[in-house]
Amino acid sequence: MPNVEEEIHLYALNLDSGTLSMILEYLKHHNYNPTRVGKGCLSKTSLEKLVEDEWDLEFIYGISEENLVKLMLGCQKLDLRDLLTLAYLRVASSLAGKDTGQLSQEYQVLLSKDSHYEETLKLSNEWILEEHNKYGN
Amino acid sequence: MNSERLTLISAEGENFYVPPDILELSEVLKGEF
Repeated sequence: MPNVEEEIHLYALNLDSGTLSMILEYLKHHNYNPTRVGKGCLSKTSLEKLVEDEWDLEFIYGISEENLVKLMLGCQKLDLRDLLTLAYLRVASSLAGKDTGQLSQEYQVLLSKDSHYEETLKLSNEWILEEHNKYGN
Repeated sequence: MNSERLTLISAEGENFYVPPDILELSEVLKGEF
Protein backbone atom coordinates (compact mmCIF):
# COMPACT_ATOMS: atom_id res chain seq x y z
CA MET A 1 0.00 0.00 0.00
CA PRO A 2 1.50 3.40 -0.99
CA ASN A 3 2.35 5.79 1.77
CA VAL A 4 0.13 8.79 1.08
CA GLU A 5 0.78 11.91 3.06
CA GLU A 6 -2.02 14.36 2.84
CA GLU A 7 -1.12 18.00 3.07
CA ILE A 8 -4.10 19.98 4.26
CA HIS A 9 -4.34 23.71 3.72
CA LEU A 10 -6.97 25.45 5.77
CA TYR A 11 -8.04 29.01 5.10
CA ALA A 12 -10.50 30.77 7.36
CA LEU A 13 -12.32 33.34 5.29
CA ASN A 14 -14.37 36.21 6.52
CA LEU A 15 -17.08 35.34 4.01
CA ASP A 16 -20.45 33.86 4.87
CA SER A 17 -21.32 30.34 3.71
CA GLY A 18 -23.89 31.57 1.18
CA THR A 19 -21.38 33.85 -0.55
CA LEU A 20 -18.68 31.19 -0.55
CA SER A 21 -21.18 28.68 -2.01
CA MET A 22 -22.04 31.09 -4.83
CA ILE A 23 -18.38 31.72 -5.62
CA LEU A 24 -17.53 28.01 -5.61
CA GLU A 25 -20.60 27.17 -7.72
CA TYR A 26 -19.35 29.60 -10.35
CA LEU A 27 -15.77 28.34 -10.19
CA LYS A 28 -16.88 24.70 -10.33
CA HIS A 29 -18.97 25.37 -13.44
CA HIS A 30 -15.89 26.76 -15.13
CA ASN A 31 -13.68 23.90 -13.93
CA TYR A 32 -11.96 26.37 -11.65
CA ASN A 33 -10.73 28.22 -14.69
CA PRO A 34 -13.31 30.89 -15.41
CA THR A 35 -13.44 32.31 -18.90
CA ARG A 36 -13.26 35.98 -19.57
CA VAL A 37 -16.51 37.77 -20.15
CA GLY A 38 -16.75 40.00 -23.18
CA LYS A 39 -15.67 43.58 -23.15
CA GLY A 40 -17.81 46.33 -24.55
CA CYS A 41 -20.11 49.14 -23.75
CA LEU A 42 -23.50 48.36 -22.31
CA SER A 43 -25.11 51.40 -23.88
CA LYS A 44 -24.34 49.87 -27.28
CA THR A 45 -25.03 46.24 -26.66
CA SER A 46 -26.93 44.11 -24.23
CA LEU A 47 -25.57 42.03 -21.39
CA GLU A 48 -26.70 38.92 -23.25
CA LYS A 49 -24.36 39.80 -26.12
CA LEU A 50 -21.40 40.52 -23.85
CA VAL A 51 -21.72 37.31 -21.87
CA GLU A 52 -21.48 34.28 -24.13
CA ASP A 53 -22.13 31.56 -21.56
CA GLU A 54 -25.86 31.23 -20.94
CA TRP A 55 -25.16 29.55 -17.61
CA ASP A 56 -23.31 32.70 -16.46
CA LEU A 57 -26.34 34.82 -17.31
CA GLU A 58 -28.73 32.56 -15.44
CA PHE A 59 -26.32 32.43 -12.52
CA ILE A 60 -25.85 36.18 -12.20
CA TYR A 61 -29.53 37.02 -12.76
CA GLY A 62 -30.52 34.40 -10.17
CA ILE A 63 -28.78 36.29 -7.39
CA SER A 64 -30.72 38.82 -5.31
CA GLU A 65 -29.43 42.40 -5.22
CA GLU A 66 -28.46 42.00 -1.57
CA ASN A 67 -26.46 38.85 -2.28
CA LEU A 68 -24.94 40.45 -5.37
CA VAL A 69 -23.27 43.05 -3.15
CA LYS A 70 -21.92 40.28 -0.89
CA LEU A 71 -20.71 38.39 -3.96
CA MET A 72 -18.85 41.45 -5.27
CA LEU A 73 -17.16 42.00 -1.90
CA GLY A 74 -16.16 38.30 -1.83
CA CYS A 75 -14.76 38.50 -5.35
CA GLN A 76 -12.73 41.56 -4.43
CA LYS A 77 -11.34 39.76 -1.40
CA LEU A 78 -10.37 36.68 -3.42
CA ASP A 79 -9.33 38.67 -6.50
CA LEU A 80 -11.75 36.83 -8.79
CA ARG A 81 -11.84 39.40 -11.54
CA ASP A 82 -13.99 37.50 -14.03
CA LEU A 83 -16.83 36.90 -11.63
CA LEU A 84 -16.50 40.46 -10.37
CA THR A 85 -16.79 41.77 -13.93
CA LEU A 86 -19.87 39.63 -14.47
CA ALA A 87 -21.44 41.08 -11.31
CA TYR A 88 -20.50 44.64 -12.35
CA LEU A 89 -22.06 44.04 -15.75
CA ARG A 90 -25.32 42.97 -14.15
CA VAL A 91 -25.38 46.15 -12.04
CA ALA A 92 -24.49 48.26 -15.08
CA SER A 93 -27.18 46.59 -17.19
CA SER A 94 -29.79 47.40 -14.59
CA LEU A 95 -28.82 51.08 -14.85
CA ALA A 96 -28.22 51.34 -18.61
CA GLY A 97 -30.74 53.19 -20.69
CA LYS A 98 -32.68 54.61 -17.75
CA ASP A 99 -33.04 58.30 -17.08
CA THR A 100 -32.60 59.92 -13.69
CA GLY A 101 -36.36 59.91 -13.08
CA GLN A 102 -36.59 56.14 -13.58
CA LEU A 103 -33.51 55.50 -11.46
CA SER A 104 -34.66 57.72 -8.63
CA GLN A 105 -38.00 55.90 -8.61
CA GLU A 106 -36.43 52.44 -8.75
CA TYR A 107 -33.85 53.10 -6.05
CA GLN A 108 -36.08 55.44 -4.05
CA VAL A 109 -33.68 58.34 -4.25
CA LEU A 110 -35.13 61.81 -3.95
CA LEU A 111 -34.00 64.17 -6.69
CA SER A 112 -33.05 67.67 -5.71
CA LYS A 113 -34.93 70.48 -7.41
CA ASP A 114 -32.10 72.82 -6.52
CA SER A 115 -30.37 73.75 -9.80
CA HIS A 116 -27.21 74.91 -7.98
CA TYR A 117 -26.94 71.46 -6.38
CA GLU A 118 -27.37 69.76 -9.76
CA GLU A 119 -24.70 71.97 -11.30
CA THR A 120 -22.27 71.20 -8.45
CA LEU A 121 -22.98 67.50 -8.86
CA LYS A 122 -22.28 67.65 -12.60
CA LEU A 123 -19.01 69.53 -12.06
CA SER A 124 -17.77 67.11 -9.42
CA ASN A 125 -18.58 64.11 -11.63
CA GLU A 126 -17.50 65.49 -14.96
CA TRP A 127 -15.65 62.29 -15.88
CA ILE A 128 -18.93 60.37 -15.94
CA LEU A 129 -20.37 62.72 -18.55
CA GLU A 130 -17.14 62.50 -20.56
CA GLU A 131 -17.36 58.69 -20.55
CA HIS A 132 -21.03 58.88 -21.50
CA ASN A 133 -20.28 61.20 -24.43
CA LYS A 134 -17.36 59.03 -25.53
CA TYR A 135 -19.53 55.95 -25.89
CA GLY A 136 -22.67 57.73 -27.03
CA ASN A 137 -26.15 57.02 -25.79
CA MET B 1 3.63 10.43 -2.27
CA ASN B 2 1.92 13.69 -1.37
CA SER B 3 -1.60 14.86 -2.01
CA GLU B 4 -2.98 18.23 -1.20
CA ARG B 5 -6.34 19.31 0.04
CA LEU B 6 -7.57 22.85 0.20
CA THR B 7 -10.27 23.70 2.69
CA LEU B 8 -11.96 27.05 2.90
CA ILE B 9 -13.76 27.87 6.11
CA SER B 10 -16.65 30.28 6.03
CA ALA B 11 -17.38 32.88 8.70
CA GLU B 12 -19.91 30.46 10.20
CA GLY B 13 -17.27 27.72 10.43
CA GLU B 14 -18.57 25.64 7.52
CA ASN B 15 -15.91 23.74 5.59
CA PHE B 16 -15.73 23.87 1.79
CA TYR B 17 -13.36 21.45 0.12
CA VAL B 18 -11.93 22.59 -3.18
CA PRO B 19 -9.37 21.09 -5.55
CA PRO B 20 -5.86 22.20 -4.70
CA ASP B 21 -5.25 23.26 -8.27
CA ILE B 22 -7.19 26.47 -7.97
CA LEU B 23 -3.90 28.17 -8.44
CA GLU B 24 -5.04 31.73 -8.69
CA LEU B 25 -7.26 31.39 -5.66
CA SER B 26 -4.69 29.63 -3.54
CA GLU B 27 -2.07 32.23 -4.47
CA VAL B 28 -4.41 34.95 -3.27
CA LEU B 29 -5.07 33.01 -0.09
CA LYS B 30 -1.38 32.45 0.54
CA GLY B 31 -0.75 36.13 0.04
CA GLU B 32 -3.46 37.23 2.37
CA PHE B 33 -3.22 34.82 5.28
